[in-house]
Amino acid sequence: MTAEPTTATPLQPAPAGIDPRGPRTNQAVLAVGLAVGFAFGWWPVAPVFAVVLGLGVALGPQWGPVLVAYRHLLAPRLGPPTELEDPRPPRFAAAIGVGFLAAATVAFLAGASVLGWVLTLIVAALAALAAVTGLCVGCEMYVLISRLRGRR
Amino acid sequence: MTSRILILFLLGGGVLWLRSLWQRRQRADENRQSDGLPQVPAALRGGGPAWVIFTTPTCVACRSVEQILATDRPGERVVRIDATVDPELASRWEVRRAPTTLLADADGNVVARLVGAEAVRRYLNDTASPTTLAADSEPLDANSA
Repeated sequence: MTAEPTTATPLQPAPAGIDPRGPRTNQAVLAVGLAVGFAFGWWPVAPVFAVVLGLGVALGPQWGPVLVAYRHLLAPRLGPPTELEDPRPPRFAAAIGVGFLAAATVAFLAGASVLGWVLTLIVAALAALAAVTGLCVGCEMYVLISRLRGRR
Repeated sequence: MTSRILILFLLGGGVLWLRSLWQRRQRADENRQSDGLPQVPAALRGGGPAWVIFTTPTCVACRSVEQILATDRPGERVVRIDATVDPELASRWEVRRAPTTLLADADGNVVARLVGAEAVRRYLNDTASPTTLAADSEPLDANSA
């Protein structure tokens, strides 16, 4: 441990902050939707939410159905957020979610429904955790990967 | 159907348990006072007293802290440390999240440890007079110093 600050990557300019309650709402809807789908054994819930998440990931938050609903229906009633967050980590986390749900869909189509549900429930559990605590595992991965890439 | 509901209950219970652990940890971090924290070395402070902000590259609230300090304590020295670049420095002052802000006096003693932008705002409201820090209009980036 050194007394002097070490020289390393300087801070990169971050994009404008977003209301963190948008992604939290997205995660809550995702968790509840996948849980209900699992309870009723309705496997198309995986591809449906893969598309819902994927729209926001691929085209931006203005195309994410839940994010749009939050912005128009909930945000005006809640008032301005006390703090903002960087949009890149939640977007990365959503991309991981899309990957898991896409893999789950392939598993369902291939007849491996147990694997499909395991993948789906992993996404549901992590989304629920992020929604109720703000602890977003995919976001933490983004920070870690950025740090590793910056050091290369 | 019953077994599926049971699995969901177990998962939900696990999530709530993790939530409780997480909240306890957050509260402990927010309530951690500056007592017992090591001094901030003069080299890091630039010699005099300073505000030391631990940031991450994705921390938007960290920019708020810088703006708050620039507005409320203009001319005071602000040092920015990217905790992802210098995790050893972060762990030395028990930094668990960004922004965590330390106020070091002229001798390097940590007189305040503030977690989050709101804590900085509250601290500045509660302490009426500025702490007479060195003049620096721009935050100093300790990682690239």
